[in-house]
Amino acid sequence: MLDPKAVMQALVAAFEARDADRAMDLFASNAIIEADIACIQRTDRRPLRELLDEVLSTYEWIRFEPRMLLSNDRQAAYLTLITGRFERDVHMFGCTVPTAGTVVNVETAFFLELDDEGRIGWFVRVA
Amino acid sequence: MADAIAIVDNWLDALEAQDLSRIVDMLADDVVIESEMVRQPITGRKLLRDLLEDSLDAYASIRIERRKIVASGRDVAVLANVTARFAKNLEMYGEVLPTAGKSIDIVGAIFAEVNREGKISKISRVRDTLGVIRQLGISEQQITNIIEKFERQRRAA
Repeated sequence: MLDPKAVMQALVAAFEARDADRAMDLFASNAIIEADIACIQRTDRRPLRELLDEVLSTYEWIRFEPRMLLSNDRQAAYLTLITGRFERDVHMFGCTVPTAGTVVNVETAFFLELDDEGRIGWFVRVA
Repeated sequence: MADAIAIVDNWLDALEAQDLSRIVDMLADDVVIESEMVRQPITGRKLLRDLLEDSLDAYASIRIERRKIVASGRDVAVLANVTARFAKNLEMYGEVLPTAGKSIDIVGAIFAEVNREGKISKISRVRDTLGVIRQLGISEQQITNIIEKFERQRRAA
């Protein structure tokens, strides 16, 4: 049986562990991922892997404080306060953002939908 | 009690219609509203009415395209594309934001709880704040000023 709530919890646990392999295993090979910062859509595994590696390796640690977790059918929604400490500066599109050592708190929402195999076929982050 | 999805959907309709009475009537008296903009939640229908009375008529139109609705019991989450056009500058706590004639198009999420009486008792909003600031040309200092004035006023109330 598809369990989108359990998949969301597993994804958050993988993020907290900064374990890109565990996170990757939860996504379908053709997953679509939308994030506000660049309105990107990832439709194959290599760029998704690169994205996860880049994002997760930026943090020294990252914690998700759950606020609300809902699911129905094959979809789930998660409201959380993310707190993380940057291990290094962030490098994006040729720019360096001086984040090293900074702690940030970000209210964030995740939405996901599972495919027939129970993997994440669609994922959106709002922050 | 109507189902929670219908209640939240109607509330979003009221926001689109910019109908202050409907917006407020659908909330519990002790509603709690959390936003990424303020450190402490906004509590109570009256405070929200005061805030909206001062700002709602700045909008020429508000459109909320529901992209995904997830519900469990009396809890509802909505992922939406929000498009708003401003008729005039937005004035908040003495700060005049240069919004007249501008539009914004952002992604946002609403998480709502509906009580046994069918009223919305809690709303948590998350949105692409960076997108709002960028599209409207608002300075970081103006945002900081508004938040500080709002929180000062609330402490004094």
